[in-house]
Amino acid sequence: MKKSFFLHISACAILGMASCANKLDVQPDTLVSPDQVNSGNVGLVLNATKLALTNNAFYNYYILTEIMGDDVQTAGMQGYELCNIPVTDNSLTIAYRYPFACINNANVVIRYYNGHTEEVALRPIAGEAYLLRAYAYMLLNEQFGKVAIMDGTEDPLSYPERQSEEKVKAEIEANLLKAVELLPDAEGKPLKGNKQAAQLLLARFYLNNGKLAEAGNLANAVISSGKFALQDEKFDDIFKYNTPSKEMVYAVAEVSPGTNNTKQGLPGVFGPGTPRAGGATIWIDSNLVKTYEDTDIRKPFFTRAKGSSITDTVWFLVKFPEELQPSYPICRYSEAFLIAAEAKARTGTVDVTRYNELRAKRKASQVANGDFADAAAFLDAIELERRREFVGERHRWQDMRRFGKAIPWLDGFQQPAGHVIFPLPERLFTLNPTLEQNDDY
Amino acid sequence: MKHVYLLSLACMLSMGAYAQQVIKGTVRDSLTRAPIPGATIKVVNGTGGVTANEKGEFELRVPANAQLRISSIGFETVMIPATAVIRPIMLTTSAQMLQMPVVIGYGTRQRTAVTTSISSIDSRKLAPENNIVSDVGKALQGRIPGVFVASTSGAPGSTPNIQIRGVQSARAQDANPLIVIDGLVMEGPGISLSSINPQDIETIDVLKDAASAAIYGARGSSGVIIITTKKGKQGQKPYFTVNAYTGFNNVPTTRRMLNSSEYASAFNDSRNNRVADIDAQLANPDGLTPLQISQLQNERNRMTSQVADLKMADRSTDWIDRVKNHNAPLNNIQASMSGGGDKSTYYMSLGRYAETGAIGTGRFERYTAKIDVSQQVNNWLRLMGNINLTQSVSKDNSYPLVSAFNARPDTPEEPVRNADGSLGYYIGQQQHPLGEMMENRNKNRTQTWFGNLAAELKLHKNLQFRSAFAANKYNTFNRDYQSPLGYLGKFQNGYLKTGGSDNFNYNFDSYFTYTNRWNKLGLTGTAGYTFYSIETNAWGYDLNGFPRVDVITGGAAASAYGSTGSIGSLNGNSLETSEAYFGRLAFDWDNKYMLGASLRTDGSSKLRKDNRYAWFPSVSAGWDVAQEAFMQDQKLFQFLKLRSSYGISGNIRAVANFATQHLMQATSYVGEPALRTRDMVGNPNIRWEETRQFDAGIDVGMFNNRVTLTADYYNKSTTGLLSVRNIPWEFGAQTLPFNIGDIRNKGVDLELAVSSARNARVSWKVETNLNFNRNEIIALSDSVLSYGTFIFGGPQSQARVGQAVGSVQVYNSLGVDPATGDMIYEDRNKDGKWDAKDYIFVPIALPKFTGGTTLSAGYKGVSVEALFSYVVGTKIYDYYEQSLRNYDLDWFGVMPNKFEIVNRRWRKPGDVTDVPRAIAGAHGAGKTADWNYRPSTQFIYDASYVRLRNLTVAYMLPKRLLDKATISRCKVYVAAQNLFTITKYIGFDPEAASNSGIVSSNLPNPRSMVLGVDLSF
Repeated sequence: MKKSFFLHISACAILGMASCANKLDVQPDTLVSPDQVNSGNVGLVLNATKLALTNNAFYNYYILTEIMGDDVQTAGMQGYELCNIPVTDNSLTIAYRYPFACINNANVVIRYYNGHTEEVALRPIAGEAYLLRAYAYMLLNEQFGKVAIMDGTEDPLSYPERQSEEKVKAEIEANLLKAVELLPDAEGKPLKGNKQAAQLLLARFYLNNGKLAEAGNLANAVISSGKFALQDEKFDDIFKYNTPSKEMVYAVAEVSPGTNNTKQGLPGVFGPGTPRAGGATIWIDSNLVKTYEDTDIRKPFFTRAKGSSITDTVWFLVKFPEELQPSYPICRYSEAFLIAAEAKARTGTVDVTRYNELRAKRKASQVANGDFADAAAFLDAIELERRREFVGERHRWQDMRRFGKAIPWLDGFQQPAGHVIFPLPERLFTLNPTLEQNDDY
Repeated sequence: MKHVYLLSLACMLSMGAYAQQVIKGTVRDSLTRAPIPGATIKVVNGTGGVTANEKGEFELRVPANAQLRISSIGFETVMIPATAVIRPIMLTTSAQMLQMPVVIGYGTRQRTAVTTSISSIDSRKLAPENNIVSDVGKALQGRIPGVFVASTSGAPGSTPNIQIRGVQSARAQDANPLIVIDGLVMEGPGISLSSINPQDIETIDVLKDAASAAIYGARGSSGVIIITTKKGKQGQKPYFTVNAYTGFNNVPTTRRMLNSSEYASAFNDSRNNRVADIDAQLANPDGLTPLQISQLQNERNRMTSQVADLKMADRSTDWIDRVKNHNAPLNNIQASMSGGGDKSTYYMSLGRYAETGAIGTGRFERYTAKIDVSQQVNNWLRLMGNINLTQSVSKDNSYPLVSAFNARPDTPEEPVRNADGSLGYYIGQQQHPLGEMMENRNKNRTQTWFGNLAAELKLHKNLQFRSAFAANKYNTFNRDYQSPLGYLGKFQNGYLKTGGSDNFNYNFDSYFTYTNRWNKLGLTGTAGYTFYSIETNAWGYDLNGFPRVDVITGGAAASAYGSTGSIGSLNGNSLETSEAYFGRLAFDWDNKYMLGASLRTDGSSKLRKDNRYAWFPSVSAGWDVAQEAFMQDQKLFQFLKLRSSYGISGNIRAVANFATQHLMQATSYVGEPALRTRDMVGNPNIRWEETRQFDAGIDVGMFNNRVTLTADYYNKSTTGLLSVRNIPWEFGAQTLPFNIGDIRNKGVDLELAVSSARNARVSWKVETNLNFNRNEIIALSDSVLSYGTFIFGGPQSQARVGQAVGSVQVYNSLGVDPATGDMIYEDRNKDGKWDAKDYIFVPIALPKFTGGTTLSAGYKGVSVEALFSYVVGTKIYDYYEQSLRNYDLDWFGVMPNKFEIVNRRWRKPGDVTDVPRAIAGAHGAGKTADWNYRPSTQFIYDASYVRLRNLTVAYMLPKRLLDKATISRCKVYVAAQNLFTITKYIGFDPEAASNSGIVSSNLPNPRSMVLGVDLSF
């Protein structure tokens, strides 16, 4: 073989072994670096904040405290029904993880905004992120008491520390105040964050924490905003996705899995089953259902059927419409009326005005101040009205705590007072050995 | 020609003119007496040589005193004087195939010169009659020491789980070895062993130790399986062969469920027991609150009304039996043609394999075609290429095993239909086992083409260059239609899920090989470069709203697209690339002392630039003692080699793409785009995982190689185990890629074969292989890491320091309390509560000892082969046993049926049994509804087994019958797969458990019986 020939071939061969090292830099096509978040797309992170809250299955934990309370009954989920939740319960993990995932995304939005506060167009986006972050902490605080406060810059190999309830509450309040400051007035789009939503949540927060004057003022501010109106018919319209009704102040929507699936969301939880949604496993206390007056527009949204795995017929809640994109009420206009009434009543004054305004629209009978012996009697009426108005909307357990009903309720099951909140999910202790379980678990 | 090729083959000598003579002979397999086409006959120290024809015959002109050397791949080489060629020359199969070249990755080596631990099997072991299976992975079962294969499901076309020398991964799905087909690296979603026809395979070489696998560097740590497909041989006459079998699959085992009266008894007992408990509480209501009393009364009413409401029809159906397909057809046909001229070779084949599920309705059908050609262009260039085309379809997959477990035994034979024709329910909303197989159509089609083109250049008499491009195109297309009349389709007016993937992976290898010998010093050196790319693309969409008309199943009939929520999970693209430089040197001194070393550096797109590359070195040495002068006088050992190796290999599989970067995921929220922080936090600091393995082995051939033994001790430790670390949920994410710990596997591989003397009248052979392996997790940064898939309600599968991977987290059962009939669990921390602090961890997934024994015997034309495989020390967690111990009504409002084991349940105080009482509602020391069926050691079973995996009886038709039909060879056979299994496990199949050792609704592996024929022309 000729030497030159040998060399040529060898050269070609070595060329064949030339490095392709630059081909090792592979770029993703659906992933972006956080550096690429900008003023034009930070709104997409806000969308993700809501996605992270629901994971398209918000009902998995939205209803847990409802089941603990007296409005909602079930033969399943005995841990919640009997207020003795096993630490291994799977719903607990969801109730812990999802709000923190929501906070993590909200943090990205808020961090971006804090670097660009001069951009006015970012205010509604940042405001809603604050609102959602506050809501997520409210969920966590109601469910687990003390929780860590995260700003998204912590080392993932460190162990987050649980903060005192005071600090968590301060965080909630600060976030809501910021949301009130940044958010624009409502424009009839309940799926968009708005100032009144932040005010109403803040009113609820103050009411729960004994700041009555602030609660009343905020509730009245929402009522006098002129952005909403109470409805005197088609009560279920309020709950429809992107409803034209002017009663929903703020709601979070999700997409159901599967195709053309209208059986998920809250109808899937509370429904009586075939042909409607639901498994007929979760029903409403019949004593509550009996308190609706016949003219009440809310009354038709209970249906009597035989429950699954029980022989009795029971009342199922059907006010939530079966939709492809079910939505979950975060706060509704009517709450402002009942907060206003309650805040006043708690100062010892019986003033039925707001109470009557709501009841009038619901076509329930009117009352006079003199019908109530004292403020305590009126508070009982308000509590009952809240149950009728908000059954299934994740108010009751917090209301029971505020009205002093939660502890007796726990006593009834011979459960310790610590069971007013959930235990931390067992799995957390392997992830973070510095944690301590909640009292009484 | 007839007068030349006389019947009996043997030889006629004579007509020798002076010193030259023409001899004619036949070469045959001593075991089966089958001719060995392609055997090489060479004159020792002379010129000339021929290959045997398709009848094993040859004709050669030789000097009268010539010595002949007769060899063929997979057989012991025989040296005989030409004058002895008067009878057929019987070649015995070589136990370790000593003469066979071993594929070592970027090259081959004679077995005698190998200094690392490589086991091989050849095409005869993969012959269809010896493996009634769909894929080559299953065919490895019980055949190679240290290679553990388990078919985790009997579903048609499903691929098995393979582990080489234990597991060095914290995740079950990363434990499978690397597979290389003719140089094509098969990794990622492109890998499907079922897309290659086992009968197209010539040899399989398994690189077990790090020194051999190090040449595959970053991908080698779980071992490498190198598959070499069949090729034609130079100078071989056309050889056409057809092998076909037909038979049936069935599931011989069952689990008896309760009949109707037993069901009613269990149902009523469970309610009555609860009522009795409540009555006892209410009889002494001090300490109960009014609320509790009213709750108890409500529950009591519920229980009594359930008992009153239970109306069982007077019939019982064995639903397990009803969903079985007792004679599920099984067919295989393969035709191949091969041959070669002076400078070219060819091989082509067509195959079809079809199998029907032995439970339910699934069908798997695979067509394969292969063409392999090579051409010597001139004295310095040789080109070769092959292409394999495969289309496999699995359809009508419906395996209603769970429905058959759950179905109330009095369920009528025919499913209930509603007035509108849709499937209804007999009781509650329980699906009818047969109804589940109706009103749906699904079809998963996989098309694969893979192949390679290679050029070999002889640059110099000592230097070769080879460049090969190997590629794999792997496309899938899946349709799943649920009619609006069916159980699943009715809620959405029918749906059709359509999806598929378009994947392409390739690797481009180029390397030089230098071979030389200076007196006694021999050297083989290899140096090269490889680039690897794997691209995957998935797409899919859902359709819904179909008309309620029977024959409609097509997407065009739909009225709407499905949810946007599934877009992200159905669509996606990814690309992974890697490159490596490698080199290897092998020295020998007089073929006695051997020394090898290899070095490879790998880079991967998965890692960040500064951590991207890593080095994987290895060294090995061998001493062929039998070659020593002092061994020449003894007759005991024909072969005796000591060898040892040490090396480092890696594993990058466990790292997801882009795991090193902190990134946000683009997705959608209620029809709008969204940018979301990932569930995984990126970790830029992860580095390569390394497996260091020491291996010491001995290869022995004794008594004229009638006894051969290979033994290996190995100790491999993996450090920097790549996996994900679970982080606290407060971070809004769950995982962080991490080098989480260290794991060690050590053990022994043994391979022993004993065979009859050559030319014995009844020939026989016993081959045994064994592996003992001890797996231990040495360190983990996460104290408890999940290992296999978690089944909700079942135990968590864990990896835990100080134990083998794959333990389950359970309560320690102390048996049934004879006084109450409830379970007693150990309260390990004595706090009066039973929670996660009381769990114990029981390793179940990995066997302690596995092996296989092949017995074969031949007498005249009859041959028998039996392969037993055995697994010892493995356990099963029976999740279905656990879940069916729940006596409450299930999601569908029915108490699921139970396994018959509950017939021996506790019934009255004093009963001593291991099955707790039937009870619904709160009970036991923990006063919970799930007390008696919590994950505990009561559901862990010993899953050791011995299985007759294959039995073949074959008869070779006598030549005289065949010659008239111009058939050169005809073998008929009957074969049976999984004929029997000896095990203590009470379930279907101790093998059919998931890789975490948990069995749920895994379909049992079927027993197959076939009748077949193997014809050559």
